Amino acid sequence: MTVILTAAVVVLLPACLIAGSVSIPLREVAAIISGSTDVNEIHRIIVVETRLPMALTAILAGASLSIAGLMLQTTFNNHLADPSILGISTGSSLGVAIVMLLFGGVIGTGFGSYLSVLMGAIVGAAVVMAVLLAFSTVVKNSLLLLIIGIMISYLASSAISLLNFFSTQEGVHSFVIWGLGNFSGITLDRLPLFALLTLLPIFGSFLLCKPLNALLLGTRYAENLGVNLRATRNWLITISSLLTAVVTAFCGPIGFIGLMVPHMARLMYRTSNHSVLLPATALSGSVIALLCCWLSSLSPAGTIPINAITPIIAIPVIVYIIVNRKNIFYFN
Amino acid sequence: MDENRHIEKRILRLEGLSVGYLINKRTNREVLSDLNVELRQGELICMLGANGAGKSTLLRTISGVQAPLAGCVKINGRNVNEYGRRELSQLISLVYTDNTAAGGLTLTELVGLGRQPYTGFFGRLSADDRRVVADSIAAVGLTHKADEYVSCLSDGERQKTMIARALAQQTPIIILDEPTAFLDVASRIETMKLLHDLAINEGKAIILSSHDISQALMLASRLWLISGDGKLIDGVTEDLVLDGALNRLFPDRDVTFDPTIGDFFASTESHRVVRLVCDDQLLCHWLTNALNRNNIITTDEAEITVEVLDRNKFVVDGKHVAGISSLISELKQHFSE
Repeated sequence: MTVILTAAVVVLLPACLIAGSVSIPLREVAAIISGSTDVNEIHRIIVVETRLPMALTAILAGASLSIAGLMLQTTFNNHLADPSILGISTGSSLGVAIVMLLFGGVIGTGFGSYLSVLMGAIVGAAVVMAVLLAFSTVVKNSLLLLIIGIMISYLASSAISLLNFFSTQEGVHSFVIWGLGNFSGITLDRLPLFALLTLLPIFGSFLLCKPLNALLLGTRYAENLGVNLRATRNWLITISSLLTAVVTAFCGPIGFIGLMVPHMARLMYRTSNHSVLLPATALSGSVIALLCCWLSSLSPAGTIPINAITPIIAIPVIVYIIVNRKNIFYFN
Repeated sequence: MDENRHIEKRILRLEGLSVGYLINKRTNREVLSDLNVELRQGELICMLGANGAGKSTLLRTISGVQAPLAGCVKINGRNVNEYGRRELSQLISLVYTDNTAAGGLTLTELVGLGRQPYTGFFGRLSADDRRVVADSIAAVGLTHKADEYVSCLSDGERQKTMIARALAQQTPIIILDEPTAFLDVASRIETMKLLHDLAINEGKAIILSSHDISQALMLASRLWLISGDGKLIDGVTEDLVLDGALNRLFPDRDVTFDPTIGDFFASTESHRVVRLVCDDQLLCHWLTNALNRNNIITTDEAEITVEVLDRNKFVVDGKHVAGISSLISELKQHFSE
């Protein structure tokens, strides 16, 4: 399976570099990447400054969202949990909306506004996650908890609408564009920051493999196995909201990847063991995000918003899983 | 004897323990109070009591998950709350009937989770750990299913898997909360037999709560009876049966413990009394059963005598009757006159 997924990355990565409003042949892309000077300068700029950062962003964002989804599914013991369904993405969006609309920090102008948007997203995600966790100690039923997440999501959406209503036209415009989701918002010089902010929590998630496996048995068994429940939960919240918030801040709220990919990984690797599943989920997430990235660049009219593509890929998979859950090995 | 060696060592003590819930800062609801009992290695203790009597609360308090309202639980002479998380996880293992989300693990992987108190940061199993896991699976008789997914196991096999996980944890004490609750009769008996063998052969100290009276009486070395008034009666199984202590389990309910059969039955009070004359004990038992079901009780002194000639021939006050069903109709007619 790892071979197939790696092969998919190897195929999709160059595909993303080739496709776009200006089609650049593979041979020229190869020449540009290998650092050859004998290339069309405009093409070089398009590939190096736009398409390569976009593809790398997709790889990191896909892995981040998928890992966040997997951690939430295990934490809440619910196969339908993911950052967008539980309202964490929306919380992030609200944080961004407050920064962009209330304080007028328009995205993309200067490092300071970048950072404030990022902080807004992180605080928003963390607040929603903390509220969810507070509810989870009272509401034991995970389906009801999911519904609370959806309610929180609506609440945050309505707050965003209110902010939009009272905001300036250009603020609304930049927020709407951001909200459509795209992997192309990150320039080459900001890619290292994004990479650092995603790879660090991804690394952190790998350190939680052991307690995550114990949590498959439920909190009571995990506690009996010596897991420090409070500390583990706090780490799981911190890491999954950080992953969601960073991706949301840079790429907009991207739905469904976090929900679908962990299932894809479980089905392909046939296990729930996080030592295998976590890396598998990260890799699958990168593949799916690259696929979305490639599809979004196929239109000659410009880049299609990512959020228009993810449901088309994800929803059939999710519906398949729901319909076939009796025959799928990891459901009870 | 080799078997008695384990019984020497006392491992767990409840000292003046009161358990219950804090309702708010000032008031609490005490469920059981002033418990003073102990548990020795090699003992299988069955805790019996009505629903809501406080069995689960007591088990949670013993395992250190819930704080006691008063008194303390001591393991090897040291208060449970003084042990670190990891130390405690090497002393007590728990088995619940919770649904888990572990269907996508293989049986071996799940049992391997029992090694977590001993493994390093990433939970990787050493060769030694893997041997313990294999031995634990063999002990519950599931070696042939070791590589199957947990989701493919039956309820009984799942419960045994959870017991294997507890064994892999290598703790001297195992606590099980209604381990046989959702199992069919065969799995129930197998599970209880397994636990009994673990106590006898491995010297484990086992506490389990159960509603299965007949299994408990057969296999438990001691019983902890939780009576309705918040008391715990501790004693050797047979002593408690012979002392009639089991009738204190359901004091205000319409059931009575029958010490000859070893189980509870609906209390029968009736003015319809017969005297049964019968040499065959088995036949006598089942005839009494049939009579009781029809609200007729048997005593040594009664106006009507039923004489049993053989399995199908009875004499009621000099009149011959064939078959149990005819006997019942004859007696009913007799009493209605």
